Amino acid sequence: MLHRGTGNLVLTEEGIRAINNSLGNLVMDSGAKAALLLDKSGQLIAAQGETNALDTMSLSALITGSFGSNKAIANLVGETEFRRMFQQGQSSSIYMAQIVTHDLIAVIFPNSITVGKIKFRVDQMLDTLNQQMQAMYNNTPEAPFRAAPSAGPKLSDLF
Amino acid sequence: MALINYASREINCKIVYYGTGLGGKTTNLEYIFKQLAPGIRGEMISLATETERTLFFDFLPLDLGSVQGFKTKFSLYTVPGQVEYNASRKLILNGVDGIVFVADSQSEKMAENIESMRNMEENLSEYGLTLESVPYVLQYNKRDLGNISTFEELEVAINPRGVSSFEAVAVEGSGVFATLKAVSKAVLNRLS
Repeated sequence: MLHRGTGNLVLTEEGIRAINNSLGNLVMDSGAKAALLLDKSGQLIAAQGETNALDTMSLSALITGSFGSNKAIANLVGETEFRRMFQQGQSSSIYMAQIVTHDLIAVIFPNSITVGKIKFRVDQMLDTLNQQMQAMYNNTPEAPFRAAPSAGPKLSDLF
Repeated sequence: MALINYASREINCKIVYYGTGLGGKTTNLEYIFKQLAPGIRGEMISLATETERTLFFDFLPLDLGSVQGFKTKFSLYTVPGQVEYNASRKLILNGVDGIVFVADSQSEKMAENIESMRNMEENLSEYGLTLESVPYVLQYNKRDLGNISTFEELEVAINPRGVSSFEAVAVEGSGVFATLKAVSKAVLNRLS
């Protein structure tokens, strides 16, 4: 299993552009409402489609938690993990898949589109997303802040 | 493990409130949620039982605004404190950037605090992390109750590394923001 330990995930402009292109193509080709890429700790990496009405931060936390709890269910039935999940609603549904880096892709789509079509499009995209995320993890992290103490005044203002 | 997006100049960090059952972790988040303006915090999500015990986790997103040109966001999580929910605790520690350990100050809870700290170290080790590698602070909660351990007793029992520690009455808000500020600074300092 891939552990990141204390290393940070650095998203470069070039890398995030490539991922946004992949997610955008997925939304366009499948007719989905939105596609989200989440890291395994519950943070949103990228999103494309109709995301303005979505609380993407909360969605990311809940989808990741849901995937994690399903892994425990998988263990109870003799599987190491479930790599795909599907949640069906009345008018829209969510299809989720895990990529090699253990990050997750979640696709929200109207029920006028079959889950089979979404699954097919996601499967077509997985290799590309795997490569794009692997490249991200191979980035050398650099410190975003110049000096530690300067964060202090801002925090004091807030709290 | 912070997520640093150089394209949108955004940083996302994950802070986890850990500790014994009924120690006040959810109360901390509830107070923060009530006190902060909606522009700074998002909606709080609680996955709780009918008796309001945390079943899976609580989640509260905070937007700290711009810190050195980076839009800085924190995701606050609590874990379920009950012993039997260890799988959930382990899961929520995945990718953690900073920890608030909420200890229950009542004398009879001392052994539970020590066990919860030991359990946290064990769960961190599953991700290759230690208390040396993850910034954390301590909060001694319920200081308003009668039968409580002294500050010194708690320090000796659960703070051998001498990290920042705060006395709190989370239900009234006392000590809640001092704790959050300390862990936030520690997390941001780690990114420098």
